[in-house]
Amino acid sequence: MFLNSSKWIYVYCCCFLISITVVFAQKQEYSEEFKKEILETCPQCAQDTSVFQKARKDKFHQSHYLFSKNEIDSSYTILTELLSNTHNKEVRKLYILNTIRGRVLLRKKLFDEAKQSFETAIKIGKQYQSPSINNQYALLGQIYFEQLKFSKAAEVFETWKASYVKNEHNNRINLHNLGLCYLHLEQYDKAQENLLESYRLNQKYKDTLGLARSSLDIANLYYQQYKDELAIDYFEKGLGYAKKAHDLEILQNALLNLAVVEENRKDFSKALKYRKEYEKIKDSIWNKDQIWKFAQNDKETARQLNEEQLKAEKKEKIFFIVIALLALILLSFLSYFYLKIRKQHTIIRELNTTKNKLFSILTHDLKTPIHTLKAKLYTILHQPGKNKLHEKQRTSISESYDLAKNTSLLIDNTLHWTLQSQNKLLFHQQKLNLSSIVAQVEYDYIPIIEENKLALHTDIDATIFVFADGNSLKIALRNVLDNAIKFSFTEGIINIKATTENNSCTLKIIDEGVGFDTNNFSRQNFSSTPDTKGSTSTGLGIQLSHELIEKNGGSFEISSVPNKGTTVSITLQTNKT
Amino acid sequence: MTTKIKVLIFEDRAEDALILKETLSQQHIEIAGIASSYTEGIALLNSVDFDIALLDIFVKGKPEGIQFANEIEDDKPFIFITSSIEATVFEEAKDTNPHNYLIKPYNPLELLFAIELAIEKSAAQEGAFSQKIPVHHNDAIFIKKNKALVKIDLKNINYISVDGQYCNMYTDEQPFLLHTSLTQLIKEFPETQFIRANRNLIVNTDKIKIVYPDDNLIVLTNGEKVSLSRRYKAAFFKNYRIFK
Repeated sequence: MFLNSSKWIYVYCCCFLISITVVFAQKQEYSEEFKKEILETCPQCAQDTSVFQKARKDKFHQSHYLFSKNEIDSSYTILTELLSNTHNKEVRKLYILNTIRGRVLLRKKLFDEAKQSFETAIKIGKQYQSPSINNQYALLGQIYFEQLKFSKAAEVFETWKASYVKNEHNNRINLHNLGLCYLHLEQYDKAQENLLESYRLNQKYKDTLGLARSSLDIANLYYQQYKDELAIDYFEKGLGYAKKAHDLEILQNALLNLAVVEENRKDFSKALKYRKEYEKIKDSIWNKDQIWKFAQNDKETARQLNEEQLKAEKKEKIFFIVIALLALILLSFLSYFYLKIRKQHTIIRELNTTKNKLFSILTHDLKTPIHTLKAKLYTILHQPGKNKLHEKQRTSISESYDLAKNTSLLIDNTLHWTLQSQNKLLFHQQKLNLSSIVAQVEYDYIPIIEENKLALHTDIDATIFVFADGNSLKIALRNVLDNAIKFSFTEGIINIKATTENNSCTLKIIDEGVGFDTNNFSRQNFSSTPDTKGSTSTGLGIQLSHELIEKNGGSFEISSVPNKGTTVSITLQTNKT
Repeated sequence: MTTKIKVLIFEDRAEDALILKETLSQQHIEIAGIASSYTEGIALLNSVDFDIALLDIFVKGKPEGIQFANEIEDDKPFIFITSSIEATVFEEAKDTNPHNYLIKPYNPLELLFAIELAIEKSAAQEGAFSQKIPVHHNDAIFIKKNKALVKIDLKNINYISVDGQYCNMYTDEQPFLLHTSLTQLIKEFPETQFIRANRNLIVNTDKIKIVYPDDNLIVLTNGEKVSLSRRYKAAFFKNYRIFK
């Protein structure tokens, strides 16, 4: 990655003597040592050896990553930010940051600032004897060179040369530059020595462009020393390399140099030939520039258009993605619930069938025979005098009757409860005589009341009518009376009273039995209080009564005091509403 | 002469029919006939006289009771009996306008109450029995006496006289106390059959044996005498031609 990263060192060589300026452009890359240092210092690069692949969050990483990507402005912003942070005291990082900053400034041709950065870098580098420090000398040398301070440049380059590492790819450039310094300083021996070494290195690396430059500069060296033969030889070599290297600028320089040289030699035909070629290239460069400019413009316009289009597309894309995602989520939810519901539906249907079967069993196979049993036991208990029963027989028949009655109520409750919850219960409200309804309910309890020696006092005006459904009202009353009897002590009293007020009638069933603590009482949890015979009920009955009375448009209230008794108040409408 | 209420039963289950029969007889109600199928029912309808019909909705597993209900004369009350309390069953039965429903199992009081309510409803006099108000329906009066429901055909009434705020109804057998006013009864009864003899009495014209206008006296077929006041004499004779 480093190898293609930098293309930014320009070295000028001006041949004063023949008034020709040879522009010498040569790539200056990171030195191996500097690369190593970055790798060692940057945690991101250390993790991922194929460094600079991605722009990571780490600012330090970004500084050299962006630089390597030629985004020097962004890189510079980050570098400045990092360097202005005085907390950043890691010398290596500071060294690297300063170096890169120097390189950025160098590319911007802000030589004084660049120089400052490199000097700082060198100062820091010296502190811990950075292995890549000598490379910074070379860069510093280049700056002096660019500023035409050749003696200073030569001095710095010599410092570099004193500790330079062999086989470094930048060496030939630095040697070349050093040579050029001496050339400018007119120290031809040293110039020749360095330029020739650079030439050799270029040969070694088969760097055609480098060879072209070296040749031309050596030619200039010789030419300045009036060694024309050698100079021409090198100029022609340079021309050859320049042609091979396809670098128009170098080629142009070579041709111009040769044209001037031949002109000076008075070989005008050759000079003219070179000059013409030079002009041709000049034109082609101009053309190339123009074309490149147009192309650049085109490219820019296209890029802008593309960007706008991309932006719009991106927006649209995001919009569609969001919509699609939402739809997908919705769909998956729906299908999930649909499947779930369908599954449940099947189960429910099956359950319903089973339940219906159970119902017919309950209604026909259980309800009727239990009632018949109850009715028959009732008849035995109440048959007139003739065959008086023994006390023992009476008791057991009475108990049987009680059992049959309880079972009958339980069946009825279950049936009503289930039908009520399905809203399938017969419901037909009409004007009903309350005393008559109460008498019908009491009828089934006569044997029990007698057996337990209870006193049942019913005081309901025969002219009181309620607007209710007879069946559900009777079920409710049955449950309430059943409870009152169950929780009454032997020889207890049960009072049933009715009072009317405006359009409502309140029926009170008052017992003097066990009672219960109303604080521990909730609609969902009745029962649990054992009755006077020690058994507990399911609590379904009272709950059902409550619901059925409410369905009739009435209200159902229970008040109780432990060991004093319970009062159930049922309020019903007296008129159709 | 007082008559028992006559009931027509439509029920295929012998056991249930027996329970009905026993319960009804305890309540001094007469069985006009028991049909256990639709055809039997139709035959009974044509041959016997009844006051009310008790129909089991499901006969032999089919809702024949509903079908049978459609054949009953409009002025005759009927009750549907069923062991089901599911609303769907009643949806079908509703169109026949039954006068009441009775849910099996039932106790004697419930049966009696259902019958009473049906009669009250067919006479549009709901709540009458519990208030001892006579129910007038199909040329008869239904009243509750000693917890039993009795029927008195209008033709069997001799006369009705005021007793305090109520009335006493006299037949050949026994008087009945009616918790209603004489004025109310006159309004309800057929105009020509019952005529005011004096301020406190209406008499059944069919039961008049001899009238002594000069003595202001009416002698009834059973020998009882009621006075004919001068005030009502003119109105009384308006309906009769007098041979002197």
